[in-house]
Amino acid sequence: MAGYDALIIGGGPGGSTTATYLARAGKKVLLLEKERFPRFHIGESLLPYNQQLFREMGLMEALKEAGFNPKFGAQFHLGNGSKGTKFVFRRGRFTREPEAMQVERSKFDHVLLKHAASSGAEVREGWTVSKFANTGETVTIEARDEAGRVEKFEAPFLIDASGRGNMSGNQEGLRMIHPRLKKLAVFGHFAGVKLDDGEPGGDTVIVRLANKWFWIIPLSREKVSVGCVMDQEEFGRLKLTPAQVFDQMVESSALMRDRMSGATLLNNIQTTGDFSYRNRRFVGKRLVRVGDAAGFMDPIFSAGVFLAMFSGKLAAQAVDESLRAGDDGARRLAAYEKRVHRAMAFYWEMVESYYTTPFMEVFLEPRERFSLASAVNAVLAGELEGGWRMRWRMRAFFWIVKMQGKHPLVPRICFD
Amino acid sequence: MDKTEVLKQRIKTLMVENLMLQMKAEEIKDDQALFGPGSLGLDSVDALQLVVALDKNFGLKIPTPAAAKDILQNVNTIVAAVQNRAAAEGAS
Repeated sequence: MAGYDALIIGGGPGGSTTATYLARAGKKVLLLEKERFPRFHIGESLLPYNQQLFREMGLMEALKEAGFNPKFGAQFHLGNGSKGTKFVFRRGRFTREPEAMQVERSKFDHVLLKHAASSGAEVREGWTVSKFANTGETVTIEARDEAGRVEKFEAPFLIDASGRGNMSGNQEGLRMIHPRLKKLAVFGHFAGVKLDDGEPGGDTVIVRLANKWFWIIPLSREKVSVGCVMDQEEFGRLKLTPAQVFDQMVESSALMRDRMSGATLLNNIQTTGDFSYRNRRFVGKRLVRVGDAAGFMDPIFSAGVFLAMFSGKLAAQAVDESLRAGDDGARRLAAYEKRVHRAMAFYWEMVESYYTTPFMEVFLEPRERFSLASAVNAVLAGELEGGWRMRWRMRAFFWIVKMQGKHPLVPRICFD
Repeated sequence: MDKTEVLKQRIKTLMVENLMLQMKAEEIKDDQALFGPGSLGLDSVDALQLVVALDKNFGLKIPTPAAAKDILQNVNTIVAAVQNRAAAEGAS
């Protein structure tokens, strides 16, 4: 037997991060990725707080060389162009990182996976894990390579970073779909999309209509990811192709029409849906779920990759400590679950609130009274654990949103 | 199972699912303290999450820290608060 300390399912940002931290801690890690990189993946905007992880992992040079587009802030606009607001990360009082990146995930994920390998992890591409089992002292997984050869692997710990494929969560029937958020994203890459001049040209731009919204994520000035997030029900009702739906949705917004007036499609319009869910448990016996394999909510606050890497680091730490202690890590895994669940639960609250009109009304009139705008800025930047001073401000923010629904404190908005 | 028992079960399940408690809903005693010595060991962030979950699932408003201290003592006190609210709604 090869004597692995940990097995990792999945080579996306979650899996690569876990593998890198564990390998750099001297642990023997096997990572199995079902595809061959580079490959396309959605989820192209990162958060400033990713930078701290990159520095810790020794990735800065490789990322700089890859030349990803810097992102200094995020903008939120109404689809009719009547209102908008810009958040600049470096201007937020509580935001500890000024800059983020927009990334072509095929390139980004490949950089991360190669780094995991050069950090000492054994990485095998083209291997699909079909099931896992717990023997008490170890975990085993069964995997198949591209030639169909089946092999079993065994180790004291298993990290499930299988993304929305949700391998171990599905095997245990743990997935809970969000009862109300049944969304679908229609997206593509475009040339000729209108961007702001200068630094704001790298911003993630969100355009919100009454019951749908667009993302504009500049991977570069020449290649911009544009997507529309709408209700599955509306998409189904239209009975059009994804490309036709996309065009129709752009047409319905004055601001989008303007930004896309000179745009040409570079690839194919794709769709993805059923992305709002979490697993009932994020850990099992000697098993940790990271990133989307724990849960995913919605693309609106661009937190997916960041949460995957954040949880990947915490998972690696919990597993590393448990290996050194020689125990099954139950206590540490429980602490991991609690911490990651809190981080995610907070984002879920933001997402649910975002899909209400009062939220947008308050959001589009940022108040610096009590440094609320700075608190929101930090949250948008990825501040997950800002402590008491962030927590009460975000409570105040949500309370104001609630009040706004009954007694408007800021002007009402009109989507039409 | 009578209405109160059903409500107790729902609240215990809500606590386990929202606070990632390391126990099954059935293992939570009705009169077991949520906070402090001899309790389930919840902290202030758990309290916040519980307040949000109770509002979302039962429309129960807990507007002040004093109200939270009263209502969030144990499952029994939470159940009473939810039932009082339901009764008040029915009366209005």
